[in-house]
Amino acid sequence: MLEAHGVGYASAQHELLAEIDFTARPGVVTVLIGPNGAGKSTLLRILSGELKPTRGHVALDGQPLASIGSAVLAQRRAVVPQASALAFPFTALEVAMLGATVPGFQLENGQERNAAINALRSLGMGAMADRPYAFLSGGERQRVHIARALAQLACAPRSEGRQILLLDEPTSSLDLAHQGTVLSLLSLQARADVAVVAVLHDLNLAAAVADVLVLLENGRVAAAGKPDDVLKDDILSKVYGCPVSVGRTPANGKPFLLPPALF
Amino acid sequence: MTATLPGSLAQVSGRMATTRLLLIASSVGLCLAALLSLSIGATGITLTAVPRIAWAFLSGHRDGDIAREQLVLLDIRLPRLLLGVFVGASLAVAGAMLQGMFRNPLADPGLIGVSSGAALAAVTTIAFGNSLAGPWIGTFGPYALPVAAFVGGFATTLLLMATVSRQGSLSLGPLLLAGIAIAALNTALIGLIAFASDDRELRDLTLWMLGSLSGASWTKVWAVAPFAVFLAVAAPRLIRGLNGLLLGEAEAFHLGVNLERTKRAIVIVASAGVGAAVAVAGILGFVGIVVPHVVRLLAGPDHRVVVPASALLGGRVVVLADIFARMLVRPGELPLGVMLALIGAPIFLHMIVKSRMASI
Repeated sequence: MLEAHGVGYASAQHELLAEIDFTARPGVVTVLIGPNGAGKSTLLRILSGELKPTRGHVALDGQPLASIGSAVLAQRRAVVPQASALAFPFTALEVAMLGATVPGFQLENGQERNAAINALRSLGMGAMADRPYAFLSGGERQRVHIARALAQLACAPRSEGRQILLLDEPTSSLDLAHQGTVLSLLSLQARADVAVVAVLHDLNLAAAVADVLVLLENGRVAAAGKPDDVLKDDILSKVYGCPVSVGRTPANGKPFLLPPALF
Repeated sequence: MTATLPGSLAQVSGRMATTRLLLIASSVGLCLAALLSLSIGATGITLTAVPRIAWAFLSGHRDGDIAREQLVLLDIRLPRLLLGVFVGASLAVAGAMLQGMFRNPLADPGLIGVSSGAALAAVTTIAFGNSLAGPWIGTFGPYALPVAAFVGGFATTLLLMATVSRQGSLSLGPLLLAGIAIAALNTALIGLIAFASDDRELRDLTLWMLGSLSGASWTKVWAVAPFAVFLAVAAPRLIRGLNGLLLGEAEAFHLGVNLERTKRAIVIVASAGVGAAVAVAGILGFVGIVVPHVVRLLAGPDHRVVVPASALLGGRVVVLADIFARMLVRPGELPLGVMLALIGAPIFLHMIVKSRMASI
């Protein structure tokens, strides 16, 4: 379990996050939503250990995150960043295989390749394994990085405890079909008892995949809970600063909304 | 998707086979270059004499001709060969590591100020040998120059790291820029000294800066041996971190790399290697920046290949260039740095033109 208690983050001039209490539980997909600049990515970077909070603390199973070594941490949690540039010509498979290079992984011969190939296949990238990364489209690159994180989790020793998967806008460059692929992979990971935390921009996708939604506004939690409790007209209208009217999908009655200018 | 998979996987395994082949070919190439280097020189001891002399040495024969040949082979050519291999390997490995850490294909060992710091110290020793640097030369005798070069290179690196470190953290952007600034400062100081030097000093320091293995001796070999061992032990431990860093610092951290320790270790290992290389051979450009690229063009950017293959290829390139440097204007010698660029630059240009890689 990954917990943030009273977490705040301030740069020299600006307070980016304040008084955040947050819990990522195994088997649960938690989605961070909020307007641009609300602090979603900053919170995710703090949860990953990459950024140290200036107030409060983050704990993994009760142990302060700051006291856990980078290698031990990497055996339990994988991160998919928003964008990643590569300076040298790796292939898609080689990037995905980097996920298996965490210190302390006890891998059998060929296990890292198999894990990377399986992860690429699960994202529909199997046929492009040997494609140079530089020749991939934005969405394909994004799927390679998700595959890298999945390979990391697949190669991690299970004895180390429940795993955590953190993703920053994993669907931002994806087409309709692959948005679906990625979201169902997140649910699948949660079903395997992984604590999944994703930043999503698209509120409809968030509503579809989230078990728990956390709505951020100006670095603070504006609302948190089940999608039905968070995606309400009054809350969203206030936070996003525009009139919002939440509808329901015909298939399963999940919350559904469009940008107000289109109505 | 599944229908095309076997083919694509075959291609990936193809790259892995190329990798293995490249490592084997580089090893064989280095051995051939070494044999060639031992058997070519002004005294006319040829390849056929090498086994004879080796046998005589092992069986304890020491009559006239054989003794002279032994002297040439064991005391002149062998240390020169070993130094050439060390210098080439350490420059190439340092270049590969710095390019990987900075994620910048243009990074070379000169970038973190080692070469220019070493050059400044060496030039100072040459120009002020009779005055200010007199006591230094008195203490270290014939090794005053290499020792000064090493100390200068390492001092520059420490200065650079102290300048850029903030709260125990080393930021790569400022490190790169400060390295360029310090290198420019060193170069300016070298220019000042050159401006004030007389003709003989000017010639000495110019030739030193063009690089040469002509002063090779067993003492120098023993002096760089600890650095060779240090590089051989430390470099493989940094490979995982280097691969992670290719994705960026945050991603490397996500993959379990201890960032601060790794970055510091890379700077220290690279500058120790380059400092020792510059100390015994002067400034040799080209190897550090080009050899890792050639390896990446052939085998991809994985440091598990790039580091060892760069070491092998770097050693081979320097040994071969040294053979040409010795042979072309006998009995004189061309500066090694000049020879390296003369042979290497056209080959590298050819590879770039032929290569279909989108980015190096």
